Amino acid sequence: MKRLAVPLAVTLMFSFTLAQTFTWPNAWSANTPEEAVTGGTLRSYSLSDPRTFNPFVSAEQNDVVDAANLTTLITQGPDSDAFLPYMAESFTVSDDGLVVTLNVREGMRWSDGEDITAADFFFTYTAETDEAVGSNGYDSWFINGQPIVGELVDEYTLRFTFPEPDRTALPVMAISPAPDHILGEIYREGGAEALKAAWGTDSDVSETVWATPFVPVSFTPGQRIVFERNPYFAEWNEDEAGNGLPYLDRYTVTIVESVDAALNLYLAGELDSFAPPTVDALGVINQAIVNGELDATLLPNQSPVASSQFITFNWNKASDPFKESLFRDARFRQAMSHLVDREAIIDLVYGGSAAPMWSNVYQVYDYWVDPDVPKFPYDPERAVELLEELGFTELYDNGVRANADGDAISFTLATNAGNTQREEIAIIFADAARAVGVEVDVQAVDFNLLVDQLLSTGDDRPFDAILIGLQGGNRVYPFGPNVIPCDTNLHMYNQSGACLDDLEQTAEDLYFEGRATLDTEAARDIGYDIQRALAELQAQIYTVSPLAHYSWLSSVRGEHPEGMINAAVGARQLPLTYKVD
Amino acid sequence: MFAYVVRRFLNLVPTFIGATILAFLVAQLVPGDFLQQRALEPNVRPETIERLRQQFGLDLPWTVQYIRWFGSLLQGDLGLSFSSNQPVTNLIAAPIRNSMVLVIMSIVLLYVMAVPLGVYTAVRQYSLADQSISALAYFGLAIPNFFFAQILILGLFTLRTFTRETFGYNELLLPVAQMTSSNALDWPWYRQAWDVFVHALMPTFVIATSGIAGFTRVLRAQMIEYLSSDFIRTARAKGLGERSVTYKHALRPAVIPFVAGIGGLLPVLIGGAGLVEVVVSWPGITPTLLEAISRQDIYVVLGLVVVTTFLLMIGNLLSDLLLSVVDPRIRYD
Amino acid sequence: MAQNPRARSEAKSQTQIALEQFRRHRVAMIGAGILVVMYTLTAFAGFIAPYGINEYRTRPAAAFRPPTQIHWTDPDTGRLTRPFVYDVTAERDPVTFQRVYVEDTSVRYPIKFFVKRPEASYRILGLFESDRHLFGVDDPARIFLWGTNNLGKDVFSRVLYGGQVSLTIGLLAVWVSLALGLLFGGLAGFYGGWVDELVMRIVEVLSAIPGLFLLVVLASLLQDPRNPLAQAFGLEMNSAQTFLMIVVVLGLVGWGGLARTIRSLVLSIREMDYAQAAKALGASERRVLAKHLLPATASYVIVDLTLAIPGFILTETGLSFIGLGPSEVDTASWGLLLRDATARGISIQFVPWLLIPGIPIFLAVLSWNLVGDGLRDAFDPRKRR
Repeated sequence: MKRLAVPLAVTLMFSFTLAQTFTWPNAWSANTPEEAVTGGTLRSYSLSDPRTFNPFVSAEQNDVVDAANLTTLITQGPDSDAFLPYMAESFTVSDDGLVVTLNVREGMRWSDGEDITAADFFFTYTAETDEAVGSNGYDSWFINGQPIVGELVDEYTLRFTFPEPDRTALPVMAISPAPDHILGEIYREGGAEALKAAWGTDSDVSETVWATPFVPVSFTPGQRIVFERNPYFAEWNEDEAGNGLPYLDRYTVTIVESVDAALNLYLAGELDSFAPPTVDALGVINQAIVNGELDATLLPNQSPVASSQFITFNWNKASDPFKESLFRDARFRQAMSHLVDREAIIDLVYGGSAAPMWSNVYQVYDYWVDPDVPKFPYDPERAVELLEELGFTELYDNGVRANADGDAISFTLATNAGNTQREEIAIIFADAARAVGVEVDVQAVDFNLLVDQLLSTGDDRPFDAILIGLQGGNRVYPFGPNVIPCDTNLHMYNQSGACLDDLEQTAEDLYFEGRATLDTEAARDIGYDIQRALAELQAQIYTVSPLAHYSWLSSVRGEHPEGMINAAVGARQLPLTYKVD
Repeated sequence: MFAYVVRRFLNLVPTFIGATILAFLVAQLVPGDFLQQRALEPNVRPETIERLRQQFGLDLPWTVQYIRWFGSLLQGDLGLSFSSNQPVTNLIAAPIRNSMVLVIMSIVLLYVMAVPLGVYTAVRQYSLADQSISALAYFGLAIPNFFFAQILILGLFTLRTFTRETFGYNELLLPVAQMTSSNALDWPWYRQAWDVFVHALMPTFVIATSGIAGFTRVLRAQMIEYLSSDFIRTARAKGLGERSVTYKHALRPAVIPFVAGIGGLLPVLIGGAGLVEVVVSWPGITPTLLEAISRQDIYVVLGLVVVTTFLLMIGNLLSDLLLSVVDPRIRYD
Repeated sequence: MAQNPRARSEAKSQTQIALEQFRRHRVAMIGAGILVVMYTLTAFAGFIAPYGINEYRTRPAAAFRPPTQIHWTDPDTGRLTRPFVYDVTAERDPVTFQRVYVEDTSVRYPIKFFVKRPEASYRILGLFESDRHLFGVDDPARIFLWGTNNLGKDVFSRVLYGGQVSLTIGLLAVWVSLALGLLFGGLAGFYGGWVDELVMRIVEVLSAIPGLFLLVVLASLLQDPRNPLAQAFGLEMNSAQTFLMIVVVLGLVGWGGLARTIRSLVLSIREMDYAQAAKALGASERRVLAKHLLPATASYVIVDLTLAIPGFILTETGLSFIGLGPSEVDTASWGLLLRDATARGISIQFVPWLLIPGIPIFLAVLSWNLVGDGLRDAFDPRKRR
């Protein structure tokens, strides 16, 4: 466990002032503690209501519960991928990488004044691993199907034993506590059902208990969540000058139906920050700034977003052997990649604000992205060469290309209806393909139906090709456990249950090898190999990745310093944010 | 009277059951279910999805699901939302309340604008004013509500640019989204109420304009008919002033169908408020419904169906009762 | 049974009176005129539109071009000349980050008439094929009367083509509604009793379910290439089928009210003397229904239908607004074009020409309403002037 020695050293440095206080590094903010002002309200927005205040029921974006997920035993700073101890005062990993021991920081308190102890973290573990609770975190407690075993050593010590060495194990240790004296009590008395029923949106949110910098005090469905400063948070969180954090008194989240509505509110001065999703929104904001209607900062094109968009072909078409063998041929898929005009997509669909994507790793995880991954850029002539190599030399009068047997290249490309950008990407691809005699019939299909087709299994699946995106994952090992191994459910191109291509097998083998490699650099090298194998395979033809933009009113300070703002870590740390008049 | 009300209610029971069955069936026809969308997350295993499916009862045939749901409905329970594990009743209460604000304000505005216009155009038949008002009324009818709302939002921002450049006044005339201001929390209740009212003005205007054309037109026709009828001639012959004839004698019978129509307007306007709510981010029924449909959170959808059906029933009943109040010829026994 | 010749001339004169009345209704006539023009223009969309429905360029892109400026005077002499346009080059506005186009005045491209453009061939009314267009300019210049959208597709051409979809969607959906309404309304009114009870229950059930819910679910359902309808008819889903599906969805959701109208009309008319007389004379029930009752309801039904068409046009725009209308892929409807505008939110201010498709929607809905109202007045004996 060589790599983890570094964060340990960092810990000691952080905690030298007062053993039990976490000091927020100055390096995480563009401003100094001396500049900071206390008080004030930060007004943010969200596209959906929290569905619950119960961390064990929550399954999607939830502004109350997600806030709690930021106060965890260990954490990653915005400046490094390494894990720092946070609610843990320190942690150690055994030499074989199988046992992690965490020493919980003493003196932390819940928003109701009760002590936060190891029992609170252990309760999170207990509830999440209970099948009957059905928590979203359940799957993370298994490594290749083997459970991670937790142990409450004493009041301030936890130990977790892993079934095998695994890179993705450490992110699991980013456990956020759940109040054992409240939710734990409910669970022990009424079991899983009682726990699930607790802290619903019908309960009074001000009576829920948190360890977070701000605690929710009111929630009006469809309108607003109001958080207020948690006085107990300041007891164990301070800036480098020793001031208790957070600086702000209040934090509000306004619920909006659409990003357009959020933009309107931001322009009206009703919100303090906004993430412009498109170049158009950027333009509107910039114009308002230049005209003096809005006093704000605008940071365009900070990084690609943490998601991918790709075309995937179906390798399981027993009912159509011609298409099946075509789709299984890497040269065909490489030819198709040569027909994806990424420049035109960036220009026309994203107004210039996107980056071409060549690898399965989200580009914002730049440490992991192989710069030398094989690329098959827009090149219709090369595509024609490849197709001719495959025997498609005949060109019919109607412009369709076929082989000597008269089999024409013609397939449908489905994408989710209502997603204008994807529809346009599909159209641009189809038009480029048509120009070289490949007939692509673009279909816009309801999202649920699309997923239904994609997740179907067996030898004869109902689609030809699908344009879709994926998001989720982490910076520790950005390869999806359900995506790369051949028998997993998001291995979209091949659902036969076994690898069909040597490169597919290579990628799977490398995936498991990389997971078991604890040394980050070595794992990254394996990651490069995975990306190369997958790029040669071109089973998923990556298109482009839109860029992330940020904007906030000039009165809001304490954002990350320049160069530290990207889609993976965001624009700011909430505790270090403050507002000037 | 009471017996009549009870009879009307009982009559609606089969409709109610039919509507819920149909809604359930239609929702079931769509492939996939609430959990399918989770299946696209890279870290969720298919076994987990299957297990949750069993927990939610989604693996059962739809008939069994329906009967279970209806059984709990009889006990006043609309079921649980999948996405929040919360009683549906709690989830849909606020959107219905919020939509009601818009609906009631629109009805009031509709009557306030349409009645005088209808009377005026009837009295000044075929005049220039009559024709231009009719033409304007059609404007609201012919422009899609959601589009009109967006144009108004753009107009409000353009107006701000104008007032800033001419008077240095950099504020919006009306709010452009949501139903409360971000700092409404610290205000006293009367200021909060005013705040909601101000936020509702723009969407209310949009919704009301779409109804004005039809309303004005029919009222105008009714007025014209009554103004040329025998009893008005009698009234005029008795020497009553034109004003009294118009407002006391002709307007009253002409307006009866509209008073009666208020009940019927409730469910219609809730549908009509629809996409405007989406554009101005009003936390009402339509956004809730659309979201529930896209998530396939089927009990939330059904909850809204139940409420709409209920409103329809109440609305029709209300219409009939109102009719007996305003029209002395009608009695229910 | 032979028709009484006098009765026929009576009926004819009734229609004539109605037509005469309608002709006197000036506003309704204006509406009818607008509709005739719109339907004619869209029928010849291929010829009038200079570009294809989905034609765009990637290199050089023509995204978000404002309406092309047509020059009528010679810039050197200032005298009137043959109208011409300039090609443009794109730049980016440093403030709004939008493309701005600057005219390249070195070459003039005169507007030509009856130009051949093989890239945009078309069929008129599904009959004869051609690639001649009313007007156009030489490559590489482009003439965009109403600007372009983000892909660089010509809004003017798309509005014309979109009219083919939007203007017919209403007409077709009305037939679906009419068929269902006549069937169920007629049956209910004529047979009464339990049939009536059952049909009215069905109508009530339909009206109790939020229309938006039915629309959204049915539309998303029918988008599935494997949907039951498509399978039953062995259809491969393409733009034409998507279009038909939307028609069916609109019609399915909209027939309830019509059925109710027809029922009550039939109910009142069947009690009238001539229906009773026909029955007494021994005419079968079906015959009475077909020969006497339905024609009698025709005038009301025509009015109802006329007023339903604009409703369908608006509903299609609503469906498109939430992303469930015809898709961008290879068709265009006015609702879809309007979505190009509404999806931009406030930033539409940079590309205001995308709002243009709102105008034909407005005109079509308005005109259908005016015509419907005019028809109602014309059929109403009390409103004769």
